[in-house]
Amino acid sequence: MNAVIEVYDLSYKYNLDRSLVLNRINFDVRQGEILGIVGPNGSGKSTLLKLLSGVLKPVEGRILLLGRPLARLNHKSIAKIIAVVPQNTVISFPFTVREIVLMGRSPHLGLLQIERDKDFKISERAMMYTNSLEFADRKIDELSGGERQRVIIARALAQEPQIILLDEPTVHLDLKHQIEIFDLIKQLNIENLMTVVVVSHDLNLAGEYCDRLILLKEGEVYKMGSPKEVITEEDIKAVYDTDVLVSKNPLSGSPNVTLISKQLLS
Amino acid sequence: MVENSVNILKAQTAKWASVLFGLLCLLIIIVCISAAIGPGGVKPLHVLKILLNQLPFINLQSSWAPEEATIVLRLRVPRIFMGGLIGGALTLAGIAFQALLRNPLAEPYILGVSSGGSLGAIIAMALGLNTFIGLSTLPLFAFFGALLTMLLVYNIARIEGLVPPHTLLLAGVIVNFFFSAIIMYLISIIGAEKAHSFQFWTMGDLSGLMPGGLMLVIVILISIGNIIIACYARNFNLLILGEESAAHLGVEVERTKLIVFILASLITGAAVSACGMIGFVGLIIPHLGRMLLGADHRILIPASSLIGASFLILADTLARTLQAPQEIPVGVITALCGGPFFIYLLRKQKKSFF
Repeated sequence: MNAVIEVYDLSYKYNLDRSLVLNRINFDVRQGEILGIVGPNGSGKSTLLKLLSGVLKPVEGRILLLGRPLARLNHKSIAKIIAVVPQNTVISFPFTVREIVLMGRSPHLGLLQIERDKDFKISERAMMYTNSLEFADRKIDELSGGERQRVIIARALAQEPQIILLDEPTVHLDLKHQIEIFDLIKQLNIENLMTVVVVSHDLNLAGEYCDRLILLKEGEVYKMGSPKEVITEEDIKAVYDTDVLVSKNPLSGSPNVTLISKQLLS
Repeated sequence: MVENSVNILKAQTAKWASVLFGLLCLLIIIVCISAAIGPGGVKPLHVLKILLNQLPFINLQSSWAPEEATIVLRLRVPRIFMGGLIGGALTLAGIAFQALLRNPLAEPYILGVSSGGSLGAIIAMALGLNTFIGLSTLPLFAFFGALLTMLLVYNIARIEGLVPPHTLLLAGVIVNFFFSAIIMYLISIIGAEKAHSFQFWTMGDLSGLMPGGLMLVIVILISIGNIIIACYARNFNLLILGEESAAHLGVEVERTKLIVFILASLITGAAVSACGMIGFVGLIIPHLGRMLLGADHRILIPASSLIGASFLILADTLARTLQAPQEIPVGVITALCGGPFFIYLLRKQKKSFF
């Protein structure tokens, strides 16, 4: 399989005097896969995503996007290839859903160009795909968390990207909406051959939906591989410093993490 | 469904066009009324005809007295033109600062530009450099004071090549305080007469006439700045949703910020040097525009600029007529009208966009 993103010896720190948030990371993102990035708080997951989207510049190392150095591409050309769904989008301005989704077309438009019929049609399709067309003319600040997340994914689709990066897309969502979002990601992956990189806190969801996982610990890649290889009792213990039970999801066979309370252990 | 969305596009374009046309008509009406009011009264309709007659290829039957044309063209129109230009420019600068700093209280003077301009002017006064070969140098000093202040504030706020909005805001507020203190001190030592003429810079005044050349430079500067900033309208829509998400959608955030900050400060500095500090316009007109038209900067920028121009022309008309032959500083009028009106809007709306 072709690598769409290649990462070599990537290091990052936020301030020149602080310690490294990411330390010599190497991996690639393969075309058409769903790659999950998991790890405890502060392990560098979100930072890694920001480096992949070009918002942060690496301190050391390099990233290739479709074979070209990411550092040489401007935001606009990156935005035509990579779309990002941020963690928790709060929009307090009274834009309608349609206007928000149309904003996804801006990397394809010139400074003074007004949206063309084509842009409206692409946005329309993106809303149809994410089931957000029904509230296309409502204001974004009136929507629930799950609805808003679908709109933001629709905006990402309107960019017509080859790769979507999602940063904890289901945080603050209830069970129904969590599954809805991950089903949508899977559907995109299968039907549109979209390459997906998703940062997730939820090991069970990540294990269920991702083709490969990267487990980060203190800014380094602790383990990389299929969910079955990465989510094991020993590795979780080593990275999260927590005892868990790993069993098999009886329906899908993917690893299933069960948390154990301290009282039970003693 | 897809047909539907194309119709929405057409409906929106039509709506925007009619809003702009309406506001343009309003502006023309206000210009005519303003040019008609004052000593040696002229009929508003005559003003319109006199103005139309100035356009190429239009030659109207002269139904007005020649004195009327002189009053309108020589006395009223230059001042009205300046008022409209600066009203629109302050509004635009206000919108730009509010969008980039993502702060509803941002206004053109927020980054210390006004106090820097005033400081430049008062230093010139204190040193007795008021005139150079018979021309007033104060606007020049004010302009460079404003520019240097902007560069100072921008550099204070820069951290490792990035300029976070809240740092910039703080740097501006602090420089404002610091310079205000120096200004207060200088006022206290330069003597009552000079201090009185300095009021011009702190309350705003459109009655001062500047040397023609300088005026032209200011007009060109403001016009070019306005046009370039207006080109960034769609980027503003993306930026108010957050710098990171704007970058994800292809906006070169730091470059956009730098260009727009410099241009908005240039415009403000030019406005301050031409007519002092006219408060409230750059703060309330953008909010008024947003309440009337929503958050899309592509309509907000041109529409609010037209509203701002109309508002300042109206305020200046009041300033020169209410206590004629004495003048009230126009900044007093804008604040007196603007404050209560804004509170009314706020209470009526009961919803903030920030």
